[in-house]
Amino acid sequence: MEIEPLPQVSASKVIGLLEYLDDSNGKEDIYRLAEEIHYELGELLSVIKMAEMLGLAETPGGDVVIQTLGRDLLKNKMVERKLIIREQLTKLPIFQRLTQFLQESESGRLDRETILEELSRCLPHENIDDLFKTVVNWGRFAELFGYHSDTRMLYLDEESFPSGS
Amino acid sequence: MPALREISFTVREGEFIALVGPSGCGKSTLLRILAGLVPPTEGVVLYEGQTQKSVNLDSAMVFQSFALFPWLTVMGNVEVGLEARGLSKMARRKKAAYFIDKVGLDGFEEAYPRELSGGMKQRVGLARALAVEPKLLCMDEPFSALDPLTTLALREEVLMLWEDQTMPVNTIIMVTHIIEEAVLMADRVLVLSSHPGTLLADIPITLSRPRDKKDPVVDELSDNIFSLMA
Repeated sequence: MEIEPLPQVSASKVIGLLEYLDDSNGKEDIYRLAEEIHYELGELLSVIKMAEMLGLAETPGGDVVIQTLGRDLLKNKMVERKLIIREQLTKLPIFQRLTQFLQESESGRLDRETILEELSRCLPHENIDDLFKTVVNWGRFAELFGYHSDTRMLYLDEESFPSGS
Repeated sequence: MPALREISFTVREGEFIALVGPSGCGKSTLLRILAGLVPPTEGVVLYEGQTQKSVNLDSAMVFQSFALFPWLTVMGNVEVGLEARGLSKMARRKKAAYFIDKVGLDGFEEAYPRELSGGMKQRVGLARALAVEPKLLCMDEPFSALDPLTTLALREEVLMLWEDQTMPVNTIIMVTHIIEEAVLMADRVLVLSSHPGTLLADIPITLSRPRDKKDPVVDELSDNIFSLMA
């Protein structure tokens, strides 16, 4: 499956988008939304794209519409929200590739440079430093990956790599 | 001229109070006086019937600018308030981990503030405040350094934590200059005027939660508060 880059947005923004849509009968015109929240359109499209990749929203026509999974996420507390996002992230080829790459390593951990090389091999036209930061943030949020910035090591979270102990 | 004058009100246990007013009206000063961080030049603050003479150890503060230590990790930043309260290292770690989990920061324990988005930084501020298990949570413009979508997410998360019966904190006083935010979140909105800051109105918000920003009553209440301040 083709590996797609992750838009550079945080989990908070995606959850905020869902909150907005939930308050707007589940749907809003994208241009009007950008105006309402004073977002530059490109930035808003990145947030919407991430929500779509996670199966939380869709974009029929010029609208953005919350999906059942997005509503379910809002009904839950933080721990359950993270589980929903974790499950969705594991379906994305970029997380599948990095998880596999880390699992193939001896200890379930790899240094940042090795990960950057792998990311540039998969996505040669992307800004790899930014992509790495985004992957680390979502990976941490979903507790799929940990990253130790002092040693610059990315590793599989315990639950994703139980045999690594 | 005093910064604040003729301000008298009672906060009941379990209430969510919003302090609103134009910038420079002294609402942040009032919040600091309520938390015991700044002594009033005149007048008193009574906490549980006793005159407050120093920092209220039953309170904790969340700041607009997050006020995190950049050289400490998320875990270190949350533990720091517990260290000051004399907890052992093991007890600190356990308590910090619990509140880190509650605010959705599980997985970020070893991250430094520079690695975090604004929303995540404020979650650290929130976890640090909650970790000391305050009865009273004071928040000074907690969302004003955040982008609009992050603000929507964090407002709801703060309300979820406040409504969570397992959390020790049950009373919140929040300073904000955004009237709609006060109406959407609080049980009562205290409206201050400026120069000097005086209490103009104490407005109960009886709308059920979750509140909808497109509800015409929210609009009407916001308009009323705005015209008081204008």
